[in-house]
Amino acid sequence: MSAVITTQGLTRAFRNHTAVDSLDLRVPQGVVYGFLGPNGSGKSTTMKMLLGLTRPTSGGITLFGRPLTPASRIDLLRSIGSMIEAPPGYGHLTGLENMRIVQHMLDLADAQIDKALATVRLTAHRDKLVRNYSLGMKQRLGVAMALARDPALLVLDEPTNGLDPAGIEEIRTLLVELASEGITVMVSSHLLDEIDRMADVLGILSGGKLIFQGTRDELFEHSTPDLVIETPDPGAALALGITATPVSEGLRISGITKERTAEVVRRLAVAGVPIHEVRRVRQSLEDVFMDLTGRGGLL
Amino acid sequence: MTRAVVLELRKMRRLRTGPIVVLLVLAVAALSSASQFSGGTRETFDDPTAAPWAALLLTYTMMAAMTSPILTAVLASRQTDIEHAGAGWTLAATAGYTPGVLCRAKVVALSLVLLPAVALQSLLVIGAGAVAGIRAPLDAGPWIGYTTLLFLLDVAFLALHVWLAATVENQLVSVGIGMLGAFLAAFTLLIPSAVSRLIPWGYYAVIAHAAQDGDVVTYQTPPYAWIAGFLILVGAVYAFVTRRLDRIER
Ligand SMILES: Nc1ncnc2c1ncn2[C@@H]1O[C@H](COP(=O)(O)OP(=O)(O)OP(=O)(O)O)[C@@H](O)[C@H]1O
Ligand SMILES: [Mg+2]
Repeated sequence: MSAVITTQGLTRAFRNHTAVDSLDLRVPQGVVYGFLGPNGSGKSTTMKMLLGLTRPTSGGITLFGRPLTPASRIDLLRSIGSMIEAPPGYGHLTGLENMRIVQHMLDLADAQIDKALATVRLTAHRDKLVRNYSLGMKQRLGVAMALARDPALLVLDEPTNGLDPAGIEEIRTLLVELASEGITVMVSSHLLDEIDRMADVLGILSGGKLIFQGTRDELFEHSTPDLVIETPDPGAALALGITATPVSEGLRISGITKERTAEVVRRLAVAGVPIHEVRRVRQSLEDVFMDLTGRGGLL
Repeated sequence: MTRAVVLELRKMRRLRTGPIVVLLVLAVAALSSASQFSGGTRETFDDPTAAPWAALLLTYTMMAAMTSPILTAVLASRQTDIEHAGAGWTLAATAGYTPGVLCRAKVVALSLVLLPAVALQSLLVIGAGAVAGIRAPLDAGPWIGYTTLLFLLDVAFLALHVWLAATVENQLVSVGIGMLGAFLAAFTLLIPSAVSRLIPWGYYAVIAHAAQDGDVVTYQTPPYAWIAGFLILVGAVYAFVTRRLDRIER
């Protein structure tokens, strides 16, 4: 698969700290790329650099195989739909009038505007003032503005921000559908849960650094779920010098390898500690994410 | 650029720019000509040496000086604030329109609205004078000269206020400075022209084509070189600061 976005050591420093630190992103063509990270981890700053809205301090960006430069920017942006931070929209105009502004800016056809509005299901509300739109409608209008130019790449910064579960599901379905049509979608969020079920590839950012990039399965492979040893006599186990946390059903050990697990079980058995069950805790992706961003990554 | 200006005119819809301008034009015309209907003034109407038209032009100059700074501040601020409120800077930037281009287009678009408005305003004042019964012949030169310069000054202050409104998000700053400017403009009508030239809003007094000299009002020639210098300076500074705006990252 060819890559639509690649970055090489992309860095952006502000006066007193580095917001984005030597990112090597690779966004393959036609996928939904989930760009994850806690608040302030540098997602918006990265996306602004990808759109040429913010200058990198160092490093390079390649879009559709062409380097992003001030000269190539306008041409490249023609095929990139985007929504950064707050969804755009003039409150004193109607949804349709806002779309007409975008149409005039980019010299688009009427059909493109109608299609974009229909795609986000705003056609029925297009003559309402945007000021009176609900938050979800504003987000959808923002997506429609991004879609109007029939982009090959969509860069959406937290498009599900503030939406109710039904609204999130709707955006999710829409993005998956767009990706199936061959559009590459890069979507950010600070909640893994929100993009878990739509993202084919995940990039996880923490403190400006990329701490993981790959598929969901690869993410699970990297993580080591906690081990739970069910025993009625945790005290005896701890007396053997095993480092573990006592829990209601027995003991819990985190970050333990397969080899060490075998070793611990052998020692407990030799010492005659009754073992009812030994198992790995089933981890949600959210746990993996928290674990990862908490301890500073895998890469 | 033409496209950017048309975009600004589209955004102007529902901003009530038109009604605000019409209201102020009518107010200025009414205030300027109110005195024409008082008894004392009427006695001078048939006497060319009393220069009734020059007196009317002076009153008009005073009213325009007090209102134009506020009008330009309000129009510029309304047209620019929508970009802050609607995340318009980013939207435009992703379509290739930098903040500097947007600001320049806003000044052009607002000027296109002001041009007929200022012309109409002068015609209304002249019309009121004629209706009130001024019989002395109208001297077109000073009236046309003043109207032209008033419009050009308005354009200069539109530029200042668009830049202010784009740079400082709180619109009270831009409009507040406009009000202060109105005060300064009215004040400078009372002080020597040499001092007014050093105050930006003083140019609303510097462009005056009529002056009070003791009891009589006479036409006068304003210092064209100073006015041209001021307009060119504003144009150059605006070109520079809007180019700088392009490099600001939001
Ligand atoms: N213009 C700026 N000047 C100084 N610091 C900035 C600027 N823009 C962003 N930052 C800093 O860069 C860091 C990353 O910010 P960014 O907005 O990219 O984070 P984010 O991942 O998008 O966060 P969120 O989930 O809250 O949107 C933050 O610490 C922020 O304070
Ligand atoms: Mg952000």
